[in-house]
Amino acid sequence: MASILHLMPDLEPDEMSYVQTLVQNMSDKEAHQFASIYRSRRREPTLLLVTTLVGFFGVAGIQRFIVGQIGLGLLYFFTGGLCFVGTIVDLINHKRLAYEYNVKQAEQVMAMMFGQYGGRGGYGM
Amino acid sequence: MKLFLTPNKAWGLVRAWVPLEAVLWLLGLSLLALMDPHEAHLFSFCPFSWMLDTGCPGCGLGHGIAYLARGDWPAMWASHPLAVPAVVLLLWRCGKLLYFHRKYDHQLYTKKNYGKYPPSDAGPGAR
Repeated sequence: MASILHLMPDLEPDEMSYVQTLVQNMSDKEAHQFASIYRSRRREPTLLLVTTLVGFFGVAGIQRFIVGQIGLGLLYFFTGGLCFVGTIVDLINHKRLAYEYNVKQAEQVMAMMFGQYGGRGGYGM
Repeated sequence: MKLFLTPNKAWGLVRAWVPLEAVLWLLGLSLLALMDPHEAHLFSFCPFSWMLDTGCPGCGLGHGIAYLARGDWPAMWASHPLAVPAVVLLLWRCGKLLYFHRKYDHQLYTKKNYGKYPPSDAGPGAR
């Protein structure tokens, strides 16, 4: 029973409760390994907030590129963040964008470590 | 008398069922599609259009979407060539958001409750 709170106290509440479900049945060693890989792959909501704000003064859509949404990033870039509407939406929504990206990364780390989504004792077993 | 569904409650229900971002995109797209593109231009919220005569790179996108909803392709292309990709990308994004919401938020909710009351006879690999 590993606790993510001790390993990564800087996670957002939503993210923490999701990652905790993944880490729950790992040994301490596995949880440490998971935390060190996951830490390097996740994105901070603050980074998304700052790059969204850049959209008001110049280049829009950096935040969408950062979370791997290339299509929407290009659309934002060429339309001035959908005439600022998209930029304002992302300003409100930046935590959710980060959460979405981080959940996907956590799943990938699980797949890397245990060779299947959901990890040991996951949905496949 | 007590109201069963206040606006706050209704909004809460909507947010529990669909992600906020998807609601905003769909609302915006349908408002633009219902807008009449031939009406006189009254007021713009875009700060670029207040300051510059040429407007911003996104100018005409709303009109483009309105023309697209009416099937007027040449007028759509003239107002903004990116109108079709914009609609396709936003709808694609809404689909992905709904999929994510369904897959993870539901799962998170059920797992969270399960984790609180683990069965006493659960083995080492059991959830």
